[in-house]
Amino acid sequence: MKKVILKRIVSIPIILFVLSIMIFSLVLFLSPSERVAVFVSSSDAMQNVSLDELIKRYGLDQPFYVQYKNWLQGILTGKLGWSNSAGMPISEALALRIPATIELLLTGQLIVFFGGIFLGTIAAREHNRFSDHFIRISTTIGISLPEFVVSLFLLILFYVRFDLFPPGRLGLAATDVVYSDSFFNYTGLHLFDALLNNRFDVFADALRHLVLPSIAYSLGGLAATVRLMRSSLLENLSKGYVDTARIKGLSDKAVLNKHVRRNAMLPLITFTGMRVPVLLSGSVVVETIFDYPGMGLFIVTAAQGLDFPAIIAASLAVSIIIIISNLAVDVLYTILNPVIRLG
Amino acid sequence: MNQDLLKIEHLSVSFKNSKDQTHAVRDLSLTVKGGEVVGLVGESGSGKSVTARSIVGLLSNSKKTAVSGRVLFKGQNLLMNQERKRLNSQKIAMIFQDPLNSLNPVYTIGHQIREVFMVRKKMGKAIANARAIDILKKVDIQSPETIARQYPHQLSGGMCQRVMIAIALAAEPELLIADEPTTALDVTIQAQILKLLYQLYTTTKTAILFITHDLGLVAQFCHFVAIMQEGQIVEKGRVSDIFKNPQHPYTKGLINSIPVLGKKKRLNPMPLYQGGVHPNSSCSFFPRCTEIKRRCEKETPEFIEIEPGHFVRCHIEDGVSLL
Amino acid sequence: MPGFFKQIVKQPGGFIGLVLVLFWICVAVLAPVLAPPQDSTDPYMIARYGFSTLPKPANETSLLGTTSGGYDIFYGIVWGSRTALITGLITVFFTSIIGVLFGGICAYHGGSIDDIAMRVVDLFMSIPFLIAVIVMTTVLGKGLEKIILALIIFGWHRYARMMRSEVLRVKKMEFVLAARNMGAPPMRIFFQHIIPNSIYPIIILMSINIGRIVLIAASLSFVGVGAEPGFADWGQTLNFSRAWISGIPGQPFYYWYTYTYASIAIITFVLGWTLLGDALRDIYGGEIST
Repeated sequence: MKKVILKRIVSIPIILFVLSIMIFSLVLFLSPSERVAVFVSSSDAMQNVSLDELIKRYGLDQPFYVQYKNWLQGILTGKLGWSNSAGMPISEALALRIPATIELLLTGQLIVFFGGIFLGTIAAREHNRFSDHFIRISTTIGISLPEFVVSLFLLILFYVRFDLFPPGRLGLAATDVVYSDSFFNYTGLHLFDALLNNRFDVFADALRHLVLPSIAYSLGGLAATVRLMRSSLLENLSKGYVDTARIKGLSDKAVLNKHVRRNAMLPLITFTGMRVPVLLSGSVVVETIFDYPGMGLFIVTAAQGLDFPAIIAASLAVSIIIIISNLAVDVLYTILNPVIRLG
Repeated sequence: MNQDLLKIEHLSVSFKNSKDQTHAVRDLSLTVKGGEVVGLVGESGSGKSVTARSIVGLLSNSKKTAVSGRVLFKGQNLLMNQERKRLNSQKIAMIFQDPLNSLNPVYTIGHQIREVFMVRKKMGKAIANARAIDILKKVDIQSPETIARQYPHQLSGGMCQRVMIAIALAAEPELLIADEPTTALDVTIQAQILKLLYQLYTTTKTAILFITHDLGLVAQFCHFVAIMQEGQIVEKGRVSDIFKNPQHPYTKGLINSIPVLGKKKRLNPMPLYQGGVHPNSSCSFFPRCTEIKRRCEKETPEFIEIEPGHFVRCHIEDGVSLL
Repeated sequence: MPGFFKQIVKQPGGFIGLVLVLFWICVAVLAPVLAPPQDSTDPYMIARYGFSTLPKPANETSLLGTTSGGYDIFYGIVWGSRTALITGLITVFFTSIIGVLFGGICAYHGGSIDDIAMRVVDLFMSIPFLIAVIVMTTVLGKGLEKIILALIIFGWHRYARMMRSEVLRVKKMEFVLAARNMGAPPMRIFFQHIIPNSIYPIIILMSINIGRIVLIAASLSFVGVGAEPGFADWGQTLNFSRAWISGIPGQPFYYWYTYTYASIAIITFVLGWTLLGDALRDIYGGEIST
């Protein structure tokens, strides 16, 4: 097992390298003045200097690989450039936005995974009875509901009409607390940090803001995992080891919980893991509708403002997130499935 | 010791699917006494597995399954109540045809054996572990500690079946049902497993219901045998009687089709299954029988006792063969 | 052909799907009749009645009302159906051809070509679709053609992967082995034998994807990185309504018409193609994961 994981870890730099070249080559589509912005790290540096000066200074008339090398050097030392749309250095913006999206991602994934296990088990247990049919129909609808529509609907219903769950990430009061000196931001994930700082009011506030976006985010995935869990359970129930377990004297409930579930869960892990790119795409719409300041909204604002350095840096960040998440899923799956682990 | 341990009385099982009803088991009656090894022989589809599964309650619970008759284990009807079945499953164990698939792939061997002790005897983990190692030794597994830490997919088919036997033995059953335990294994491994089963039988004197399609195995291993065909028992009795004096045409056909090493004889396969029963008599063997008599078209054959303990469901005596 | 339609219609989902799809096709085809263009040189620019930012409900001039900027909602919906169909059909057409050829040929050849091809497909699979499209369109500029191009570039891999598994399955079948033994040239085998037998899951995927692609395109326009402002696109229409979702104090649904019609259009369009795909899947059987 360790060999497999090592091999994966080793391949990461290679993949990143290839991806970074692909992303950077987008720069070729840009005009020189636009390209300059990719290298400059503050807006002041662009003033009072002529375009030719800038081109020479940042080596923009050099061949591609030199430009790439310069850019890569900058990236590795943390100089990601300046974002016009955000009005701050990109590294700062990313430091704020990435945890926000990760928090949303994790919450959504938790709903999708555990909700899928829970509801899928109910559906399989009540096989062909009312609750099963109900769950099947609602999941069929759920898969085809566009995130778009779900988000709008939730926003209109629960905020506009009932004023229960507001958009954004934190209320005014909580924001003051989070940015004050007495609050330590360990991870950038407000839910965690609030607990670590013993501020339950911040925790509650952050949670309140997370409810709608994470539901909108996860509804499609939840529908899929419920169906997956259900069919996986039913498939496993007809396998030989279930008979053996029953013969041993285990009750039906124990058979389901102790034997079948462990096996049935495995496809869910792969599926949930594979959804991360999909979720990140979804974050664009969800974060926009709920005004949630994460990577998705960042990319959209950058795109609207033709903020190229931001777009490029954000693409890189997103790729890294996906690669890490893929690795994590692989490791988790290998741990949980002895057949893969021991070959 | 020699009281009736398992007594199946007029068991019938049928499954309803969208079009028609399949009568998997029809009016089956069979007795296994304590300490006996009884063989249940038949082709695929004859209903032997269904019979076995209905004894231990492994039939699917859906509305499409209809079960009638009685299955008495030490006097109690197993078909009556799920709870009672649970109670009595303490004394009955079963091993299956495909050992690898009968084990849970995500748990170690040790865990799966321990589970029997922890569930049935309520033992703690450490004691259960020790007992598990013991049992693995009893089924002739070398280095049981290592095996206990491994997972099913790391073991060969023969090893898996030994583990299954270990799991069955751990329950200290009075009746062991073996559903084609060697069918999925190589011939050499088959012999090993049978030898193991025999050894264990001589030490524990557990009654065994041995289900197989191989009449040769029955000859080696069983005291009594029942021959099944199309859901019905067509002949049953002591193994020696059946082999010396087979009565039912099906039995005769089975015995004749066993290839004998050394004898230069042509193989005599049984005629192929034609399907269905004759409308007037419900003799299921009618389409393939080579000894049809006039009576066979009109009357359903009932059990006749040819000699003490030897029963045949056939119109044996009267009439001339029509063929 | 008629038997084919009969089968679809027999399924309740398929029937509804077919009705919805046909409905929108009719609307798209009849667009010039239903909503005569204001500016005949560019019918895709939504008709405007005034430049007020305030939406106005249905009145004599506009059937369903106007949204922010004076854009006629009815016009946007009608001509938006054309945009949707064009986007969906063109994108799916090209992605499927590229994907099928790429996945099919590489799988048929096998060996290291197949390995490399799989790596490429895996790479594309890890790229978040919407984000990649946004990045591309930002760099390439606005306009429907650029959106479609981006959609094609990042969308073909689905077909490649599916085609690959189908080809691997069919490759082992008897009649293929027989054809190879007879000495038939590989390309001929590929087109005459392999493709017809592996094409059904692809068709199902195509149907479902038309809905998906239109949804993505609508999302793009919704967040403001899609077509030019004023272009007839359902997402755009919704985009104009964003500021007005909260209505006015005391009457939260005051501007309901700005988002309801477009939402219904999107939902029914996507649902139609998805149901159609599901019905096709039921007819042709098999476990196909999309």
